Amino acid sequence: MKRCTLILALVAVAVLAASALYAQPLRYWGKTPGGQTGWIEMPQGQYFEVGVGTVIPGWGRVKEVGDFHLIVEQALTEHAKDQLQQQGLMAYDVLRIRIPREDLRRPHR
Amino acid sequence: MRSALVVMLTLCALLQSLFVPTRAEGFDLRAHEVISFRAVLASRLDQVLREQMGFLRGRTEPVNGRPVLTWITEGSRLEDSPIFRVRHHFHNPTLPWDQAGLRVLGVQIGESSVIWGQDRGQVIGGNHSWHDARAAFFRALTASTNSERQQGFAETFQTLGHLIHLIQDAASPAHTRNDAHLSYSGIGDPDSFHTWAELNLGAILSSSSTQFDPSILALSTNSLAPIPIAHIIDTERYRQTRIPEAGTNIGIAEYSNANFFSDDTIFSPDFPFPRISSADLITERDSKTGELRRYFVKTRDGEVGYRLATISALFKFLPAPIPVVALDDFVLQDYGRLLFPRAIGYSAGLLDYFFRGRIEIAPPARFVYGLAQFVEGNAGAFTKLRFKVRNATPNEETPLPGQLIAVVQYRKPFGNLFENPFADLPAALSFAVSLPQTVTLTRDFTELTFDFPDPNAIPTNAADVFLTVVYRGPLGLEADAVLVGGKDLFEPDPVDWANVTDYDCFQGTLVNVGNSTLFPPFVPRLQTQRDLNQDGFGPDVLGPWTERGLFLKTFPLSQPPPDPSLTDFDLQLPARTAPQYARLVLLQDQPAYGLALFTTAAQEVSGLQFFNDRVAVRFDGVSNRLFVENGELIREVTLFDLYRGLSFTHLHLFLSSDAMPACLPQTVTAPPALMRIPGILPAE
Repeated sequence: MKRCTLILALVAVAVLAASALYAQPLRYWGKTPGGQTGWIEMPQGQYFEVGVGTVIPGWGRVKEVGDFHLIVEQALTEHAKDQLQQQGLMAYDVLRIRIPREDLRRPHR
Repeated sequence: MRSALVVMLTLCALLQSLFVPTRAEGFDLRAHEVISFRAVLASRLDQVLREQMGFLRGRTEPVNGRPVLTWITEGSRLEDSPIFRVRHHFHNPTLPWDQAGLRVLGVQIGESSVIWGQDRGQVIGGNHSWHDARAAFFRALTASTNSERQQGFAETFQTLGHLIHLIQDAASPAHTRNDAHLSYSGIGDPDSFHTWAELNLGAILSSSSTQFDPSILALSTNSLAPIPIAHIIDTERYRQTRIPEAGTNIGIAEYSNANFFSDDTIFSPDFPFPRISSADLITERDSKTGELRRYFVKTRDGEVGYRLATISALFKFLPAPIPVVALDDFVLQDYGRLLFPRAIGYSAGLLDYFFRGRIEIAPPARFVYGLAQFVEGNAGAFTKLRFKVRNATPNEETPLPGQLIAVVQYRKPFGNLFENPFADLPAALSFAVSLPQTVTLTRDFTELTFDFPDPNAIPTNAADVFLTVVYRGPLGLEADAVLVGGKDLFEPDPVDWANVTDYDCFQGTLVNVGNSTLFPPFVPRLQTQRDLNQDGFGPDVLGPWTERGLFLKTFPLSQPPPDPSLTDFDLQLPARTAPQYARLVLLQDQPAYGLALFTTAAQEVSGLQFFNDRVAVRFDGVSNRLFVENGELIREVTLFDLYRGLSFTHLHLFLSSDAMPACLPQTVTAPPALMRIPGILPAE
């Protein structure tokens, strides 16, 4: 198991295509024992410890590390918002993604 | 001589008013807009719009392209247009309401503003009575198309602007002391307080807000204007007592009439107060010019502590009977200090009264608001919603018999949200409107079922879901009120429940026990393929299992798990084997909830059995919604994942054995894909 800590940074990223998000699954495995960070799993068995403010490439910045879910955010660029508006679509400022804890997603017996 | 001149001028003015547009407005237009702006901010409107009606941006939410706030301020400006409406903007609280309108030479030429605000036949300039506002509000709330809704709300808010204009005019002494102040382009008899207000908008903007005592809305009604808002202008107490008051339990017209002057009614014998004995004459030095000025300062009979009038500096030079008492800027400043807060606060009070009705919504006894079968492509719909409602209007205890309609507001995504939760959402909302039902609302919760037949069913493929309930009927002293309650529901939630016992795990190796050729049922010494380590003891792997009599029941986490059964379930499966799953789509209002599962019997291929198995798990609610936080518009989405071809957000798995969890990650893309079987929903 490879453990890395992603570099803390604040960036605004363009809106990602939904297919891109699905192609790179992100799983959340809950908080670390200290409670301030949490574990995420990315493709090819990569595990990372993340905290509030960590940027997850392709996903956005971590906003909350919770007991039951991880929340990441990405701000839309003005260009992206303009494009949405021109098409009569809802142009929001921030996309906030809730990622349920993996064991709660697929409980089993 | 003078009296003849006055009569002639008045006659000319009267004739002019009949044939030529004149100005006799209350505050000038910008002053009305600013007072209305402050009134909206002082009211609860923003909170009501967000919490009860699902308006994302509250008072700045665009309606027909313009913010709610703008419709109201514009309405308050437009009430003076066309000019003929202005004659109905007067109310003399010393007279009965049917005689209290504008009078010229003893002839009443306008309806009292108290009656005008409730007159269903306004016609010229449009119908903008309280009844029109109520009708437009109900139309908007129950419209099934966005365009009808937008139009209805625009009319509602603009009409409310018209109504608060009447209250603001009643804060102007000219409008409550029958001072017509007729003028045209500034020529004639403009009212100095109006002019001063227009030039000193800063005084209005920085003014405080004084709300009326809510008890005035509970006074006995007058059949000429039976809606209690009439008492915001006139409680009829001053007319009976002839005692000037300064409290907030009187109408604004009674306050401005009894405590202030207009230009042409200073110490007028037509009005009992203020009188000479209500004030003391003092001398002040003008801080700018050093000049000595003399003022009547109000010291008794109602409101006190302000300049009531000034004595003209030219009084020694003006021949009698030219008036020597006037209203200068310092007097008007003091008037504004006392009258603007009431104009603002009483206007806010009318807005709060309009939106006072509150319905509280709560989940039903079964927990979920709606249950629906999943249809391929996420094309299913909720045709019934069940929930509890009660009358939560402050100070209105009486049971309310009326009509109730449920409306679900949502956005239709461009794509299947269960496959792609990030699908684009339209800017325009969609609405599902239930069939109406007649109900008596009380303080206690009543559980109701609302029908949403096609084409008004609520699609399971929906984002940004908000539930409102609209009541129309009597509320307190108002015979035809409209109440609204709102609840922000979590989005349609696909609950998935699968049997994946076609795989098992042995020492970290995934085994496809569903392949009956490779792994037939274990029979000692005869069929030992399942003795994987060939130690003579088996089977080392189990499955598939076939289950019978399965029941699923949701519950709030604040309560212990229930026992799902034939009489208490949200989904029932007669039987299930691998790799089958069932999907239930539900609507609920909690960030997380419980799922209780019961299996009557399960049998493994080699004959192992268990009975009456119970388990409870926790699931998160599904979000796909928009909301404003710290001025930013946020779209919140719950992530979906993929498992054996199924796009899911939460999925309960029945595994072959206790060893299987170790191999579970290896099955994410394992064939075959899960196969959906239909479940049975409870009868509604």
